Amino acid sequence: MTRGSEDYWDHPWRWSAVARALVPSMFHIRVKPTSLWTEWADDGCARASTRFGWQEMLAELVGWFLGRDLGAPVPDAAILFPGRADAAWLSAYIPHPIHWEAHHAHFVTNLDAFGAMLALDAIIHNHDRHKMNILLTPGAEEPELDAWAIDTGAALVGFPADFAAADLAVPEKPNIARGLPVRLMEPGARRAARRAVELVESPALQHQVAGACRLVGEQESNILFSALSKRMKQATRLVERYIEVVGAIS
Amino acid sequence: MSAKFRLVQYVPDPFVGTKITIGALVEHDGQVELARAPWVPGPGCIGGRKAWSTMQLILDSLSTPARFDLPSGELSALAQLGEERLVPAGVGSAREWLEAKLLPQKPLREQDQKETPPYRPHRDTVGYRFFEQWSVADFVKRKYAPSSLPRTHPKAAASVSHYVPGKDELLLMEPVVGTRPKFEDDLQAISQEFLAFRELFRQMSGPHQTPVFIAYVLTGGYSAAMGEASRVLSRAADQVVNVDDPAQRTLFLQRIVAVGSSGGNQGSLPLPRN
Repeated sequence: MTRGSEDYWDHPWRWSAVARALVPSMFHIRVKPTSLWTEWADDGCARASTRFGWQEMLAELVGWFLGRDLGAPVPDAAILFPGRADAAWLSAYIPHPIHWEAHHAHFVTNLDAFGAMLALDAIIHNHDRHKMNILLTPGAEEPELDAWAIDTGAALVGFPADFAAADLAVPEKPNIARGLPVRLMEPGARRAARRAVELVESPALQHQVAGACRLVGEQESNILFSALSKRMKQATRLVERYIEVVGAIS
Repeated sequence: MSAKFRLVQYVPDPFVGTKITIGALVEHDGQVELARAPWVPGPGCIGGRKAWSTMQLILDSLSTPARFDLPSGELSALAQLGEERLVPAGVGSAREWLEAKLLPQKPLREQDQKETPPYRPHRDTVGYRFFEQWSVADFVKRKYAPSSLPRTHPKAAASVSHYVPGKDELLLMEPVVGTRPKFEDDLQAISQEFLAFRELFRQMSGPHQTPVFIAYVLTGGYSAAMGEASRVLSRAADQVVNVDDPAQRTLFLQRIVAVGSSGGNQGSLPLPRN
């Protein structure tokens, strides 16, 4: 699906001007147009999560924009009612998904993007990549499958002070799906790491971090930007270490 | 005041419980009307012509609905009406919006409109995809059926799906896909095929390499597949490999590369893609 295509439904809700400025592609997500969120909130196809704190929302936001920039297969996303107590993170509707199982490893086609997911998790210190946080959808021809990475809400990046304190550590005992084709994902992970190093120099990064913090009311934008920049500069090192960690588990 | 709607769902077989959304009752400014799903499944998908006709009768009966709070099941036990939901504010025509945005749409592509299921890939296609994925396909050839071997029976020793010719060994490989509907038939066929080739090789004293018969199992999630394959192929195969198991897979792939390389095939260099 491409942005603005007929496949997308223009959602009926209002979005904040801040979100518009930050991530324009947030506006064309396919959302089931029902007022009852909970009906489709937990079915693995689309999620709407009302958060009690902003940290998870911040982690989702950073995971979303950085994932996009690194080439990870992350769905479109949006925030419903940003700034309000009932704000919710929306992840775009992915049609026909199943969750990860090891026996699917032979048939995933978007291995480079899938590998970029590892780089993303290493950089934002996301330990929560269990099998339900990886969706698979039918590819162009059976038995091919496309992988999607969802849910970075538990990443340490959502807690700027803790994220900074982690320095250059990666999740050493991640809750990660078993049977990932790590060897096949390595080239994509390394390419994404190199991309992360390039992105540090981009003024857009600071703008994105500041925008994300503003959306969720996080005051520690500078701490977050500083910690994220440091990790992205060292992305190659982080990703190599994380490949070792994940390879030993998978 | 926002418009409200209730989904209308048809349940062709109440014992199975499959629900098909066929429309919605819409209420706006005291007016009640039916939004019809632009696309509903054909007879073959819902249990036949009579089931399909009943679905149409239900839709026809609701075409001029008298009330929005019609009890579910009143029209027919097979017609269920859902809970009230609000149409989002700002929508002009609730009925048009429901028909365009919410209710089932006819798939755009012709191949998505067919009621007959598409053919699933052949066993050897799935197996070769495995070799491609793990970057050893350059060493693997398809369909071992040398013309030098006699054909005693058209179905005996016809061909082996995949093979790797080496200097000293010839790997003859058959994929086993655990989730295929005819899984047990597949195992029997592979067993017969391997045994037939063994007999042919014995009679013809060929090929010059040592043949190694390997069944490689893609469980597809059917965890008993490996056990059943090992049992059925115990006499016919030299090796049964569970390629879903990383340790077994690694050894298997290494063997393919080693044997293929010994036969003069250099494979392809793993050049980085930037």
